[in-house]
Amino acid sequence: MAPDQGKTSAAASLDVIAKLRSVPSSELGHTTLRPPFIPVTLGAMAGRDIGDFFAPHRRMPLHDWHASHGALLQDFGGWQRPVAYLNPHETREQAIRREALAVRMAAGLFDGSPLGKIEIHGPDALEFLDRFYINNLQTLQPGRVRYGLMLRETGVIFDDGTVTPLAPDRLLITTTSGNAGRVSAWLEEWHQCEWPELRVANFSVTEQWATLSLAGPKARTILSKLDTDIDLSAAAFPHMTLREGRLLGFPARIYRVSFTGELTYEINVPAGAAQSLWQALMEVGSPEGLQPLGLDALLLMRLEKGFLHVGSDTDGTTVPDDVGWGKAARNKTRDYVGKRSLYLPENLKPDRLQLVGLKLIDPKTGFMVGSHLRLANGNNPTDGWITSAGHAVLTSEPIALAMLRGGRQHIGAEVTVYDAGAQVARARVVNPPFFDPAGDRMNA
Amino acid sequence: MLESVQHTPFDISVLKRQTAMRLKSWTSNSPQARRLLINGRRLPAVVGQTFPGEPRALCVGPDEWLLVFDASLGLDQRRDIDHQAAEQQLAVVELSGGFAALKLQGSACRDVLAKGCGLDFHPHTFRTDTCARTLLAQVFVTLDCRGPQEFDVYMGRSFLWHLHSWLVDASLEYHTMTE
Repeated sequence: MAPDQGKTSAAASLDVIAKLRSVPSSELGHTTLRPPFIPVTLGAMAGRDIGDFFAPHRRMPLHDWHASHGALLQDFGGWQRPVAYLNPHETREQAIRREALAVRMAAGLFDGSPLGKIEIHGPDALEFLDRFYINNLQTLQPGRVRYGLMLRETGVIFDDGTVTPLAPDRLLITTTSGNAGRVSAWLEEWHQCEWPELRVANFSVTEQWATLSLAGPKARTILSKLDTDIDLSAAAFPHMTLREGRLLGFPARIYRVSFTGELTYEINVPAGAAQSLWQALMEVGSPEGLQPLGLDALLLMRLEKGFLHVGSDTDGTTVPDDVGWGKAARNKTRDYVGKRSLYLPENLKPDRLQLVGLKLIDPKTGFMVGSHLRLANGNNPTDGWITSAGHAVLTSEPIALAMLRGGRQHIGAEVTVYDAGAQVARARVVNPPFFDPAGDRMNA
Repeated sequence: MLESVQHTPFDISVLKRQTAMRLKSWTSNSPQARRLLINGRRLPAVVGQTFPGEPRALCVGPDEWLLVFDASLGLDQRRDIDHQAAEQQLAVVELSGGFAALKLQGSACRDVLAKGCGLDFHPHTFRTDTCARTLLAQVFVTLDCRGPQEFDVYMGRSFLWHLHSWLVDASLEYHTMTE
């Protein structure tokens, strides 16, 4: 509605024009009148989407437990999630460090229930999913887990997660929490509009399964104390596999995947069983040093491992090669959504922003997310920026991930770090990860 | 907590202990899917149609159904559904753990729903034993009309607290009774 079209504003406008021209407004005539015919308040247009109802607040199955145990809850994609569990008189930073140390030294329990979970059923389920991921899925056997990236048609990274066949005609994928609904709709759109001949049916099961992630060197010891028919040994249940069985009498799907770099059992049980399982794990785990783990400490540990966090380390321009997945994307011979765009000249430029690690040369200061970087002798206003930052859990050394122009060519080089236009530090470009580069701990 | 009061303009209550399953055909416009027998009855054929009874069977989309049971499902009954579904090229998932439901009753329930949903709630249009998947207060829900003054609202359990609060707020003018 332009201000000169609605009847309400048109009358006022004509009155102003009439005064300027010194003629009666009746002589001016008027345009065809359109709504609003009477004044409408902004409140009427906003309707009921105000205050607490501006957007839906989603609660996890363990919301009440978190709220009653010091959790600092924040909104992530609509979900109210614990970022840290504060002890009395403890700051958020102190809580994050305590929780991360607990995971590195003993174990932590993280509520990852908003993790997107989608089941794809049907004889063509594997073929269907293989058309989305840059990773080859054709060789994936039931019970094996493969990490994968999903692209938009433009080649830009849309989401990441895992793919696991539960049976040859029944697959389970995980997505980022914030993108769960979008990925589900994306799969449905491609099935209905482009490949209706494929015999598949997609189901979002995000809310059906609560996800409790038990991470740390003592994770196996703690989980072994609960009644289960699943063999938890490293030989029978290695990293990047999934086992189905029963845990405390509940049906369970347990992943061996890790976002912290530690030995991890990502336990999925029906949402109604989450409270019983969480409390049982805390009870048997507390003597071993188990602590509840918030989102901030989890993300700090994934930064140490250099694991990609879609949305933090990527933006609306990032293609797989920018984050080190170019080889996988090129090697897959079968077609997939976004593949064609990866070969456009813009996406092949050697000076594209690429994900690298940074360490401070003078570690008295720290890194800040959003700080800009300049290469030595660079002529550009900016050569990139910091996407994730923190302090290493065991050494407190400042570390960061950054998107840097032609980043991988500059491993070992120095960059200048700017914040709000001022030079604040010098840093060295390094290859992540910053912790356990061989992955011995998560493969334990 | 307020007690449930009958014959007020708007009552809202949380339904508990329900079992929910979603069924989808692998193939589009598959007539064989509708041969599935649940407790001796077939699935509704038309989108928006609901077959009352136990379970309540809602056709929520082309070749897609929602089954809502008032009680927990026996193992034998679940196996029977799985077996029949596989024969009819239907995929089945149980959603009971992530499923939540609200019951709305009273002469004002259609007016309250209309405050957060674009559908036509006139009784001649949204009739008893019809259903619709839609947005209510920005939340994806399935509306199940059980009577001229009675709706069940199905949603993901994470939205229950928000949607309950929203409905209570939207119905304040009707002196809501909550249970």
